[in-house]
Amino acid sequence: MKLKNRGILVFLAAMLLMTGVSRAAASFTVARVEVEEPDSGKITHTVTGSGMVDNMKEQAVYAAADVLVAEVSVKQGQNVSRGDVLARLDSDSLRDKTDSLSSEIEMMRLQNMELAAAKQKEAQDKNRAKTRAGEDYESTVSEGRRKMDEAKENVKTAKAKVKEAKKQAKKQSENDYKKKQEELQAAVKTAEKAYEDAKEQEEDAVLAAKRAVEDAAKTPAVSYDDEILQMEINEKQRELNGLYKRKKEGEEGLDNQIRALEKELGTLRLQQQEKENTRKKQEEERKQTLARAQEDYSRTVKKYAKLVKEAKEKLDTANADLKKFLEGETEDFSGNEAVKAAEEALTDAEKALEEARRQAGEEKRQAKRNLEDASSGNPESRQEEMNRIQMTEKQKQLAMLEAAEKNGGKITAQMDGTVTRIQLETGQRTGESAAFLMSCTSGGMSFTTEISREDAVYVTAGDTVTLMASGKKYEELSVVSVETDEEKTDAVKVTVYVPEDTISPGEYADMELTKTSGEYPAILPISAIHTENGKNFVYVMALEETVLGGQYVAKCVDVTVAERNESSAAVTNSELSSDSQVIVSSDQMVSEGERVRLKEDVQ
Amino acid sequence: MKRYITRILTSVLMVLVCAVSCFPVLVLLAGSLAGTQELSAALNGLFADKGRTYLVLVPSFPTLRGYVELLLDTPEFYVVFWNSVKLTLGIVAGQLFVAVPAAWGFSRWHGKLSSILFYLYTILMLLPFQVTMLSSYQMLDRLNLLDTHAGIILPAVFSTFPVFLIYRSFIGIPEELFEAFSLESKSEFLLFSYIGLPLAKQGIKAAVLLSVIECWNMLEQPLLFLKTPYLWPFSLYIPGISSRNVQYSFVFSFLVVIPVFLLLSWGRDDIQEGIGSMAGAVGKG
Repeated sequence: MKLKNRGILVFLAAMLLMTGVSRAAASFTVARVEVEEPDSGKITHTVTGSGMVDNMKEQAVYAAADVLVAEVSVKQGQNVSRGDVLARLDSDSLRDKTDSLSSEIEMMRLQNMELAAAKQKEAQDKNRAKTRAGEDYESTVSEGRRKMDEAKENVKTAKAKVKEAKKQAKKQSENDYKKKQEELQAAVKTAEKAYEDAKEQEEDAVLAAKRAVEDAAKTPAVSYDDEILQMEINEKQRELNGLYKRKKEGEEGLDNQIRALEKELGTLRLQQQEKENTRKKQEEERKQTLARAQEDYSRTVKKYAKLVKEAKEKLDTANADLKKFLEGETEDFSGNEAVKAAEEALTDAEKALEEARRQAGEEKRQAKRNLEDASSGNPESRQEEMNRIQMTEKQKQLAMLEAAEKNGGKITAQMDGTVTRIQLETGQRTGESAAFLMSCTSGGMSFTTEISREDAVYVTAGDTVTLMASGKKYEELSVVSVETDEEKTDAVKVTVYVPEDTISPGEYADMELTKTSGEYPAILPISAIHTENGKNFVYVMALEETVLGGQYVAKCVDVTVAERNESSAAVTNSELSSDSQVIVSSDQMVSEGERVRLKEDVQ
Repeated sequence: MKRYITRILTSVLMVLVCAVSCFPVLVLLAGSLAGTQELSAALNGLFADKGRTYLVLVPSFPTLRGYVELLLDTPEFYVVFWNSVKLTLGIVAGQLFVAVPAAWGFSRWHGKLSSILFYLYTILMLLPFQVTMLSSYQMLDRLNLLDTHAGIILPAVFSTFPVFLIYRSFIGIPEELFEAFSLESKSEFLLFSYIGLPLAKQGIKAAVLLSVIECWNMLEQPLLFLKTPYLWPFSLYIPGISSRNVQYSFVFSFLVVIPVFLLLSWGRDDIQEGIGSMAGAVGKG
């Protein structure tokens, strides 16, 4: 057969095998239980205590409190024997008090259940609140961290942007620097050139002006025309003089010569005058020209000195700027808009980081406070404990009332003695204090022991106990009184009358008292009772149709425990019937709906 | 070259389609190996009505714990498994016994009445279960078959779908063969046994396999007719998925896919040939 043909058969064979294996394995996990059916019965309480036998002191006889006294049968000082009736309580009042106390006890029990449930809920709410506060704290911390990381990231980005902007600005500024440097250097060169040009121009202009002055100051070249003319004039004059002389001398015909000569001389003189005038004029003009040339020279010198000075100043300025630029070069980006904007963004980011830090701290603080508040324990309520104590006390009183009711309301003497004090009055209600005080006349002794409040519920005056001392057993001894010890709030003193010649004073003895309750319809072993949230319940083995067929499963049934001792519990108000299979023990933890099997099946 | 590229592209497309078809099974396998916590976290949006949901395709912390718990510590799984096997085998066996002769009858009986009957048969095949649900329930109640496996098996045995499929195989057999056989023997039963069955074997196998798939996944009839948990098939037992048992559900679901997978791998060729022969018969018809 091909492999694929065999595949399905192999699979089915494997499933068949696993079916058996699974059943076997599951059988190990099924809880094996023992069951019992609830049966009617009574709850027996055994109270034990150890103490010492001592001489009988004045004994107090207590009656149930707050009950009407129907009759006081004895007088003060009267001798009574054990069992004599000292007083009788009104039966109706006794019954009312019993009912009232029972109701109170039931209410307290219910109150305790409610308190336990409320406590459980409070604990659950607290846990939930604590968990939520914890979760809130964690989320607040992580959110704060996230916001801070985000803000840090923003700061980092802003810083990078600033750096980038500065880098760009620097790059730009480097270009600008170079450009500026070149500009300044060019400006220096230009200024230098201008200065040089100015100087050159000054030199040229000054030189030209100077030359003009010099030219203007130059005297004309010595000209001999005037001397020649003067000589001619002198010659002519001499000639003329000569002629005059001659004329005077009387030479004739000299007039024409004299006239010609005078004319010539006049002409020459005019020429000379003209030349003189021209020379004067020329001199004046020369002087004027010189003055002007000097003036021009001064003006030129001033002008060009100014120009040169200006050019020098410009050159110095340009040099100074260049020097300043070269020496005082700092990264000043204050003028750069991009850097400014980036720095502003960085400042904002840093502020936001600070704000985020502050806010995260604040929120964390708040969340931590909330967590601490949620974690802090509430002051523990003592109400439950107080209720329990009160309940025990009331149960003790109830036991006393029930004992009295059982006795027909009679208060009897528990020993032979004399009534030394009567605290009761007919028609009045009994009080908390002792009803009667008696002194023992029979020579008997007392055995005192202390028992717990819980045990004291089952002990009342008149109960019979067994004392064991020195290996001997003394039965049917009466409890004389049950008193609460004022010093010890959780202890109750029990006094038992010990007849004469039984146990020696000073000897230690052990007391045992057995009290049986009334009949209950359902008694179960104490191991069958489970408690959760103040409620009692039991597991019942019930047949249920499951996929595996009819299987026994554990079902939870709520019960009310009326009374319990160390081994048994009386349950009431439950859905249990006489044939219910109550699970009393199991080899594993059992829970609602879990499969179970009887232990005897294994055998 | 063009043809080569076309072939490559077609292959890629087919692979993608197959991957999409196989995806749910892969999800089941991956989920069965993932731990409960991982699955609860992944399917949180499903359970909590808020939050995201995603499928675990590669478990972060694979574990076989679910398989161990289911296979060794859950006898309920085997009960429902064998219930499903019982129902499936019972129905399929019954259908073989009933549907094959019925299909043969339809294929050999020609006439107006046969056509009308076959037409009615086809309409019945098309009716969904919900339409006949109430009448089926009443009938089973009267026959005292409610809450029994017989109440599931018997109605399914008389299902019309296999008749229709096998009929198509029978009408694909050439008439000449019948004529040739009739020369040897006039027996209709022998004709059915020696000619009809062997030649329609592929179609019958295909019908059987398809019936197995249908019956293995049956949900509505068991849901309605079976009250006792002991009788439930696995389709009713797979527990309501919650965050606490989500891995268990994945393992369970994967394990019940395996038999179908094995069966199909065994009968894949037969299904293809059977459906092919039916298609041929349809062409001839």
